[in-house]
Amino acid sequence: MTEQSDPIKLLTIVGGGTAGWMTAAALAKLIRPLGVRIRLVESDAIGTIGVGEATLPHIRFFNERLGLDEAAFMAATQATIKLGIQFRDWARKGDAYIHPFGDYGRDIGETAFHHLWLRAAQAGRAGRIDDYSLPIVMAEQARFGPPATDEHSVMSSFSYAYQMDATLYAKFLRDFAEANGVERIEGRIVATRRCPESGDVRAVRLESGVEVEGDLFVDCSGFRALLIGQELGVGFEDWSDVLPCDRAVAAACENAEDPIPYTRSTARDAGWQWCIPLQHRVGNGYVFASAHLSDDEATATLLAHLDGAPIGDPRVLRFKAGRRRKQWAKNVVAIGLSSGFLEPLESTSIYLIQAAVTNLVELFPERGIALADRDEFNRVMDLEYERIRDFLVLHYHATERDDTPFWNYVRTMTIPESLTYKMDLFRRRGVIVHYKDGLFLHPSWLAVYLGQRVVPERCAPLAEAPSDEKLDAFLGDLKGVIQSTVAALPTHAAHLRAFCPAPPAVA
Amino acid sequence: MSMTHAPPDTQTRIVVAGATLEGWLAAASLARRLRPLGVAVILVPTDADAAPPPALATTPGFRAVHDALRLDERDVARFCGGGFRLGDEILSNDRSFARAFSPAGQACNGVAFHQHWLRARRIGASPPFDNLSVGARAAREGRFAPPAPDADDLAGSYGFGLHLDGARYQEYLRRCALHYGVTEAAPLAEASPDGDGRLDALRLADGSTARAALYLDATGPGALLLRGLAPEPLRPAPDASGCDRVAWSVADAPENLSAGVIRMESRGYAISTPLPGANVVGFVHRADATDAETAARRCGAASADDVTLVSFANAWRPRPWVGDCVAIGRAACDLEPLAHPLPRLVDAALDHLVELFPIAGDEAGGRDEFNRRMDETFARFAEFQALHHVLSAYPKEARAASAPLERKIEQFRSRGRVVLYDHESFDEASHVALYLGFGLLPDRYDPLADLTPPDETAALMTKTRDAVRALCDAMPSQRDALLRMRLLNAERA
Repeated sequence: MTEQSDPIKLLTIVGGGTAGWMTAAALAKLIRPLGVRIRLVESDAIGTIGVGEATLPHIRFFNERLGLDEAAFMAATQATIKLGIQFRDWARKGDAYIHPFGDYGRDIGETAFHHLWLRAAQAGRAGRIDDYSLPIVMAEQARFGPPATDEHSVMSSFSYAYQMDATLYAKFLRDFAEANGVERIEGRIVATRRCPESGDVRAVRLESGVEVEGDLFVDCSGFRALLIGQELGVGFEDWSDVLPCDRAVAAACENAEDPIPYTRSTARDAGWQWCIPLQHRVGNGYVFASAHLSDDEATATLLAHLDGAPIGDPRVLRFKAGRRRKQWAKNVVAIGLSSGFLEPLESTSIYLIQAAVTNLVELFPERGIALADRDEFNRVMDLEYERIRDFLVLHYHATERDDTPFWNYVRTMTIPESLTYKMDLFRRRGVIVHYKDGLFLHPSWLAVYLGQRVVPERCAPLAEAPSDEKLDAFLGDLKGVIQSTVAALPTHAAHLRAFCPAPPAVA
Repeated sequence: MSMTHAPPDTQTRIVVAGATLEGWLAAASLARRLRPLGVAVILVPTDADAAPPPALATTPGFRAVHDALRLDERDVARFCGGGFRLGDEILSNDRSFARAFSPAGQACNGVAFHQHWLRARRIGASPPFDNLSVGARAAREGRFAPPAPDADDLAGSYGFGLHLDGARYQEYLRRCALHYGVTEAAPLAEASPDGDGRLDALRLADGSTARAALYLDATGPGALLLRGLAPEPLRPAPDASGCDRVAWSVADAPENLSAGVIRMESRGYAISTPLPGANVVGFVHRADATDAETAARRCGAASADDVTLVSFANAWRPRPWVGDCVAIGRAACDLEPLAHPLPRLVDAALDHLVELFPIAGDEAGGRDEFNRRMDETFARFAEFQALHHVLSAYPKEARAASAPLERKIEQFRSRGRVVLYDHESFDEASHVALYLGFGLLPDRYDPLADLTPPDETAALMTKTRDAVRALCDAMPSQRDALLRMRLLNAERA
C-alpha cells in the first residue's frame, strides 16, 4: 500500500458521553483501518450531560454507515420512532402544530403544493395543511410503517428519526467502538503538554501521571472545552441575545400510556418544555431563561406538568447559546458541546455531532495539519451553526404571545438580517429561500412558518391556474390516500413490540 | 389570512423588448408557462436588438426548456441545423481532454471515483481520466447514442445538450412564440422612464403605446430599456481572462459533431461549435492586444473581412430587475462565450421569474430575491469560465482573484475536494474533469481510498476503462446517428 506523506498515527478523544462515543464509533469504523490508533480518555467521576434524546432523520445514515442493526440499536437505547416535533402554545396559547419529517402534498408542474393549499384554504375549502402530510397524520394517529423507496408511493414521502436514551446510545456505541479497537482510558486529565514551536497539543496528562499522546485530538469534553477553550484559548461567540434561554431543568417520568411517535415542545412562560417518550420512560425538561425565571420556579412548573409519576430528582443544567469561534484550531477538533450549544428545540445537538464527525472523516488530515483542511472544516461547520440558529430564532420571534416578559423580549428582539429577509419573502408571497447545504429543507421551514402564523399574504400566481373543481378533487384525493394509507398501518406501539422490544428499565 | 385573489392583475401583460434569441425564448417560454393565467405576451423589436450568436450550445438541463414548450429535442436539432452535444474537447499546451456531462466511473467503497483514480495514479495504474467517462470518450471520438433511460450504471451515466445554428434557432423560437400566442408589435420608438425608476409604457413606431405589468429587456448587451432606469454599474467578472472581443468565422463542418473544441492560446482562445453543415469558430481575445486581422487568422478566416467581431463586457448586472423592468440574457449578463452562458442563464432567469412573478402589481418581494439569485448564478458561471483560464494559465493574465474561486482551487489542489456553492451551473463531475484535465493534481488523495486493496483499485480502473470503451465502440459516429434518426438528409450529409 502506498502511503501518503505523513499520516496521523495517534488520535485521542478527550471525553466520553454522546459526542465522544459517536466520534469514537465512527472513527473506529472509518479511520482506524488506515492504521490509526484511537484512544478515548474519560473519567467515570465526571458525569455526562446526555445532550439530547431526540434526533433528526440523519441519524439513520450515521447508524447505517456504522453498520448498526436497527432493531438491536433501538432495543438497546429504549428507542421509539420519531416522525416530527409538535409545538404547543408557541404562536398563541392553544395553538399546536407538528414539524414533520416529510413532504406536504404534491406539486403540480411548477407550482409548489403549499401555494395550491393556500389558495384553497383561503377560500375555506382545504382544511389543515397537516392533513396533506403523511408523517403528521401517522404521528397524530400514533401509527407507523417504514418508508417505501418507490417514489410513486405516498409512503416514500417521509423519513423518520428516533427518540432514544442518549446515555444508553453512548453505551451502545462504546461497546461498538471498543469491539472495533478503540482503547478507552479511565482517568481525569490534569494537564496538557504542548509543542513549544507549533503550539499543537502533544499529550494530556492524567491524575495517575500517565501521559496520553496524540497527533490529533478531538475535544469532546463538553462545556468545559478542556482543549479548545481552556488550553488553546479559542473564544466563544455568544448568541444569547437571540436565544436567551440559558438553563434547563430535566426530569424523567413514567409512561402513562403507549409512547407517541413524536416529540412535544410546549411553550411556557419563560421558555419551553420538552416531552420525549421512550419505551421505558418519558424524558422531560424545561428550557428557560434565568433572567425571567428562577431554578425553583422552573422545577415546580416542570413537575406540575408531567404525564406520569416522576423518576429520580430533577437536575438543572446551565448553558449559553453560541458557538466556538473556531471549531478546529491547531490539532484540536471540537465536537459536541465544546464546539458550541444550540438549545434542543429542533433536536440538532446530535445532528451537529454527526455533521462534525462526517466532515472530519471527509477532511481527515495528516500530521502537520494542512491549513486547507482546518479552514474548510471551520467554514462548513460555521454554516451549519448559522443556518440552524436562524431556524431556531424563527420559533421564538414569530409569535403573537405578549403574556410574559420573556415572550415580549423574543417577539421584539432584533433578529439576524438573514432571517428577517427569509421571513419577509415568505410573508409577502410564500417563497422559501433555498440553500444547497441547509439542514432544514422546504417542508421544515413551511411547517414552522405556518405553525408560527407567518402566513403568506398571497399565493403564487400559477396556483390560480387549476379550476376550483380540479383543485378540490386534487386535494381530496391527496387527503384520502393519506388517510387510507395510515389507517392500514400498525400502531406505533405494535411496531415497537414486534420490531425492537427493549428490556424493562433497570431501576 | 388576508390573501388577495388577483386574477385581474395576473391576467396582465408582459412586454418583451428585443426580437433577439433571448427575447423570443423568453416570450415563448412565458407565454406557454403563464398561459393558465391568461397572461398576454407582446414582443417589441428595437433598433438595438443584438444579433444571435452564430452558434449555440446547450446543456442537458436545458431540455426542460424545450419540454415546457412541448418541443422534441430531435425536432429542434433537425430544424435548427444542429446535433447532439456531449461536451467540449479542450486543448491547452500539450494537453488535450474532454469535459462532458458525464462523471468518470462510479464511486466505490464509499469513496469518490476520482479519489480512487488519484491513488491508482500513484501506484502507476491509471488510464487517462477522460477515458473513464462515457460522455467524454464518446465526445472525443465524435460518436453518439442517447443514454440508456433509467440505467444506474455507466450506460445511463451521461447527458447531452444540443449544438444549434443561432439564427435558425432564433427563427424557430419566433415561430414557437407566435404559435403560443405571442404578438409581435411595431418596433420601439421610445422608452420613456417615468422618473420613479419605472417604465410604465413604451411608445411604438406606429404611434401606439404598449403598457405592461412587467417589461423584459432582452435587447442584448446594450440593455436599451434598463439603461434608462439608472441601474447599478456592471460588475466585472472578478477572475476574468481580460478578453473582451470575439471574432467569429464559419468553416466547413468538422468530422466530430459531438464535441466543441476549446483551444487555449497565449493571446486568448479559440472556441468552436460543430454543426452538421458548418463549423462555427470564434477567437476570443483582447481588442487592444490582438488586431482583427490576427484574430481572423486565429479562427481560420482569410482576413478580417471574413469574420464578425463581437465585443463583450465580461460583466453582469448585480440587480438585473429594476422597477418594472427585468433584464434577461445579454442585457443582464454579458460574459465571454466560453461554456456557452447565454442559454443556461436565460433558462435560470425564466425559472426564477416564473416563481417570483409579480403578484397583484407587487413586484418588490420577488424582485430582491430574483436579483439575489441571479447575481449568484452569474458569479458562479463566470467562476467556472475563469477556472479554464486560471488552470491553463492561458491567457497569461488569468488569475484567481476572488475568494470563492481561490477556495475551489485550493481545496482541490489540497486533497481533491470539490467545493460547490449555491446556484452553480455545473456539477461536481464537470469541475473534476476540468481540474484533472488541466493537470491540477491534488497534493493528497482521500486516505480512505487506501482501504481498497491496490489490485482492486487497479482492476476498478481497467474494468471502468473497458466498459467505457465497449459502450463507445457500440455507438455510431454522430453523423451516422443523425442520418439514422432522419435528422439529416443524405445529400446534406
